[in-house]
Amino acid sequence: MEDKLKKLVSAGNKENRTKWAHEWQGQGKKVVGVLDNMVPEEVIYAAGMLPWRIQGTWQEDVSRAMIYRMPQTSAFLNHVLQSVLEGELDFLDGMVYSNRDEDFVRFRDYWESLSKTRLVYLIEVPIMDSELTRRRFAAKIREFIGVIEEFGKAKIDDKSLRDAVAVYDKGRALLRKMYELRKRELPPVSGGEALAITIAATVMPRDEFNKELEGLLPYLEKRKANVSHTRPRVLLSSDLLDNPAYVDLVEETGCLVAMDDMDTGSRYFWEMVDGGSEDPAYALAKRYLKSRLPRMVDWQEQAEQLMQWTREFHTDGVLDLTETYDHTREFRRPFLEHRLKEAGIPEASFERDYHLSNVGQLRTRIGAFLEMLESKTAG
Amino acid sequence: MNLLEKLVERNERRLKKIDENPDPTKLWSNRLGYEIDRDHYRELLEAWQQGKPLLPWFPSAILARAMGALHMQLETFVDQFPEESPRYYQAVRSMGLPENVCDTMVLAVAAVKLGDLPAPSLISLCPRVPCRLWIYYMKILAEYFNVPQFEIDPPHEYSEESIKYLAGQLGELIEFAERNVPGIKYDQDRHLELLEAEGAWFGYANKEWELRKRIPLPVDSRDTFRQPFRRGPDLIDDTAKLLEFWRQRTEEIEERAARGVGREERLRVLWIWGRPVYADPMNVLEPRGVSVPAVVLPPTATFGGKFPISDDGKELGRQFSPLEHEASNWLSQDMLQRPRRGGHGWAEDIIWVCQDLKCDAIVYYQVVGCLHMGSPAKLVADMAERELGVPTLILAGREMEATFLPIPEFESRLAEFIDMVLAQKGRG
Repeated sequence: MEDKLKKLVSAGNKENRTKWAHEWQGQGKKVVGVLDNMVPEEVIYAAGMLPWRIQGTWQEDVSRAMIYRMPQTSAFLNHVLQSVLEGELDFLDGMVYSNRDEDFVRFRDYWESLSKTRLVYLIEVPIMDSELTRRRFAAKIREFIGVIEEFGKAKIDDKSLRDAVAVYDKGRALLRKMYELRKRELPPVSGGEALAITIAATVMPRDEFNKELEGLLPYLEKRKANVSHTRPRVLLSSDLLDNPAYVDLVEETGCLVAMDDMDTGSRYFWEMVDGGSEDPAYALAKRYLKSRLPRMVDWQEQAEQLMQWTREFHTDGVLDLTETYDHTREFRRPFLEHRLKEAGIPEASFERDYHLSNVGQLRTRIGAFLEMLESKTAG
Repeated sequence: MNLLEKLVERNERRLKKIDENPDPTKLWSNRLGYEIDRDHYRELLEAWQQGKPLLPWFPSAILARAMGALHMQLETFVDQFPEESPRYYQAVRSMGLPENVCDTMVLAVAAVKLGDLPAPSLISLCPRVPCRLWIYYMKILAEYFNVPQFEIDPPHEYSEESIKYLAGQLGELIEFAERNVPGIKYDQDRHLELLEAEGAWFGYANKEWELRKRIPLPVDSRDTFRQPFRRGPDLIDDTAKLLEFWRQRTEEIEERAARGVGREERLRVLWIWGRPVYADPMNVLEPRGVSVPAVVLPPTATFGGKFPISDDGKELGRQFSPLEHEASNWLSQDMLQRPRRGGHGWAEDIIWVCQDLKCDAIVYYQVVGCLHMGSPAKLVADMAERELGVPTLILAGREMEATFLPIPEFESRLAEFIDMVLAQKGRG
């Protein structure tokens, strides 16, 4: 079983992540790249295509991308564009993304010019969750269904969409079960392993992923993660962090990452779709508007979610690793810091690049924060 | 002295200077323009002192006035005081706000925090510009100053459905504001009057656009940089005075164009997106005989002076309600629409402007952190070169201060570019 677990943990890494996509295409089916969390993947899956999460290159050099990109822009997108220019994403049949932020909106310009994908589609997602915006977003999802149907020459009816939702919800439920186990003093998986498993879900056919994780859960019930520290327990908060090495770095510095607040981690699967809804597009809209991304203006709810996780997962503090120039997250930071301070939850915020870099400096800063947490816990 | 007091005083000085020593090379209608500016700042100052509602970046400036409130475009006050930026940046850092976003935006928050500008009475989380970062800027203002906030979700295409969707939200916004902000009361008759004035203003602005095609340019290029289009019908309570300014200005430019008045032009440059207020581009351009017929700048929500046609519903074959008319004007604003079409659409529009205004070159000033409009710079440059043979200089810097682009570097790069284009055209 340990081998099976290792296989799943490594499914999303650079060497393996395209394996399922190529197999899928080998069966004559299409693979659609998904750039962010706001895209309802169920629609793509319902059309018999594989939604495949795009990552950027993890190499440091993005000089080719910077010919096109402005300074002080998203490092994630710089690395994705570098991948596009190096042909790493040429195999994709299409690319779908949302208006997650301005950088994502503008990114289309260069994707359209420089990549080989036949479909480039932006799904417009409201920035707030209300009855009005749910209805509007549901209409946008129906438009998206039409686009995918035409692109894939496939019909998506309510039944096929409900079936896809059921598969995705099953995956979400399994991931939540795994996360529940992280509440233990010594959890079955490290923070890095948990992130890697969640990332595996985004590159594998979902039913295959579900089968793998379902088979592993009884083993995880008994497993004890090989971690160097069980205290302090930290909640790691970030977005667009898809390199588990960052989480390993935090844990190696002297703590246990017991929970995360990341769009590539917990927030990717936490909310479920109302499978009993008469209108699956509306049900999807409702679910995706609860993404708790800083781009949504429900900052109070985002803070409350974070504090709830802090309590439930018994963490001693929140470590924020914001990617440099993630502007919406930067804007939210003072608000969140204030709320956490009011709640008496220790917090530290450090900037990081997309690729693993500045390791020494980060280790020093994180170490200082962990020392503070330790002294607080001891005191 | 706060910024509004300083602005009143500054415009008083300008008026005194014009009265005492009029410059025959400048438009005489500028006098009325400065008077309107002074009145605008004075109205805001009085409203601040009397606790009247003040709304920053409201979805519609004229709607704010129709609701008995005043609209304040905080960044356009701040960007007149580049010398204050070190103090404001210090406040930005102490507030924990990001430094590498549009500087006028984040420095405006600092100016409010330091008491140099009034705090808002209500925040609408949806500015009438395409960039979504503005929403978070508004959100910060709302959270920091603990004022009521109302969220609007703007659609991005022009359609009857979008108009209804947006108009419905504007109606809810009015109800929310009336419930939560003392002094707010929507007056539909006043709104209709202002919509009519806005239509007239669009008409004058579009006429001026036509006049700017003339060679020589019948207005001073410095006037282009001063963004006369900021003087919309919401600016002061006396709408008739505003329209009189636009009538005088348009007639004067028309008359100058007929007489061929203007500086000798060796080159026409289209200036896009940002401009350093800490430096004066005309110091380089003017001695080289360069004119600038249009500056496509934030946050005017216009396309360098080209305005949409105000549509009261005729195109869809029915009479709009005032809120639908408002929504229609909003959705047809070029800047809201065009960037959403993608950078290629934006580049195509720039090509059109270049051709329409007979420009020989483009200066694309990327404001650091302005993701929405800065990002397509290379796309525009490539398309302009390919389709028109028009070269583009891309510069990246802040608007308020020189950290990213010191003045000597700015001037030397601009001068080298202009000299190169002049030499290429055999006009050197």
